[in-house]
Amino acid sequence: MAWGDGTGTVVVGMEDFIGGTGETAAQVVREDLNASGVLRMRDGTVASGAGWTLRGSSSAGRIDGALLDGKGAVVFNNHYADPDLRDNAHAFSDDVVTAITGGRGMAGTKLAFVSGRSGAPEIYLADSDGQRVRQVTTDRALKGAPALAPGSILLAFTSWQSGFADVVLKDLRFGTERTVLNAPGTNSGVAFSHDGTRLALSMSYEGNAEIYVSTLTGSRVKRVTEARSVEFSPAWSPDGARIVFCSDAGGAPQLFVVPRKGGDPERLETGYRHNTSPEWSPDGSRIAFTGRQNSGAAVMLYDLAAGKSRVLLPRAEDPTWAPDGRHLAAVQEGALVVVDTVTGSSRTIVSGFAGLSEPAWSR
Amino acid sequence: MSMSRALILLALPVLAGALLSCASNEVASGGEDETAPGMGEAPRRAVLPSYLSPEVTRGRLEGIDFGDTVWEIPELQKEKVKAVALYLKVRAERVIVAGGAEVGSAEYARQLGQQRALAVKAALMKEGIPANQIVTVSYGLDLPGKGGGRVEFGTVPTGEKAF
Repeated sequence: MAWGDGTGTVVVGMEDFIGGTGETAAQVVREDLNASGVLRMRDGTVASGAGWTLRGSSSAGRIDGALLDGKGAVVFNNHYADPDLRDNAHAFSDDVVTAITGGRGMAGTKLAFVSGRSGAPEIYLADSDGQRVRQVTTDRALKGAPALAPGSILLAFTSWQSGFADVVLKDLRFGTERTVLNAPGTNSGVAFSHDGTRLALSMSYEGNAEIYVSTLTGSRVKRVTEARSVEFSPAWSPDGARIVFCSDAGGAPQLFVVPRKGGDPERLETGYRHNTSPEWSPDGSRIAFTGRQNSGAAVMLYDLAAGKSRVLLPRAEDPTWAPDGRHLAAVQEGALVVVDTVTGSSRTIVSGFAGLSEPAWSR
Repeated sequence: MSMSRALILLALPVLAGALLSCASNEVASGGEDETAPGMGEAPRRAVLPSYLSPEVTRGRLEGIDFGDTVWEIPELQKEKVKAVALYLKVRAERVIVAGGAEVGSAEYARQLGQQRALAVKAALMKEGIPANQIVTVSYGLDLPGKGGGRVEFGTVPTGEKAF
């Protein structure tokens, strides 16, 4: 990897994109790649030995995009033909990130969140740059706790449409919905496993809220925890072997890790009294969560190897990892913000949505 | 007749296994995959009236107040539970126990509200109200009415059916 300018980012040149929608396509790609944190775009060709250059054309929203190395050799040259220009630009951007860094990009991924903007709490979906926000539920029943399956085709959320808290799966391609878990009590807080084949969630049909693992259809479930207290907000480790969750066994909620097949939960010493909304980082090394003290909420990062946590974003809550493992989204003062865990810099991507809460990034 | 007996016989080892697992304080079916044959199937809730539906009378019975992250019924609130139990006995009505919570996380509020509703259900059962006359729901941060850190009651005339 070429560390172009001494700030840890790789400088990538961008030639003008030709074609009728070339300028728009180039603009989206430039913003995507600058937002990646690992690349920094500048106009023109970078012809030095370790440099990179993008060359592209776009008409009617379709994009032909190429990545050239410092000697002018073509690394890849792809055709992107989705109906929407932004989808094509995001796909090109992610291919560039992967080719240069070997890691995953986040441009083509989605974020789900809750907002009461329409007068009732409904689920919304946005691109990772905050563009193309669309409302995906409309029945006006109370809703919450959205989660996106890998690939952003399946959306899970909690709906009170029946009068009780049930888990609903929605196929975002066809718009079809199916209630998958409606046991007596509150069924909520779904997290998809990273392979997309399992759900973890809280259910209370056996007496009080416990963590369960379920098949996607809800046909088979297995309890993972057993306590008198409230167990909630499960999230999977990337390898699917462990689950981090909250328990209020000690009064205020604390974070615990338990093997996915059950066993003794281990408490994480976060240093905060009130801990909620944990989510495991894609590389498995850290857990993001909301920490609350008298001074209010903050997004925290707990380092599993060091056993220590630090404040990442003050006055913010409900963190959710981007699939690139570098960025997090969270709610800060009513807006959806994305923060870079390396530089600490943050930017607002969605604002003006009343009651914006519980963001969930797809894998 | 013979079919239902067969089903009961089949269910007995499963029930015994579940009881043993609880008694030994182990996680239910720990170590096995949930796709293994015979692994637990979550029960389905019967179709029940929503707390917000027109047939449910809300606000007639005084709600129970909980503080902070508490879910055990506070001592000073226990008389209210007795009053609710008395009303339900006299009127023979069904009750929807609706829980809420005012804590930072929306998901914690949902689960804490449910735990409070279950605590109130258990207290009503202790006062002699049958379990099939009580159903629980949680609205978390969005409990209708006075909202927040409370459990409220909605009543439904019993008619011929219990829950």
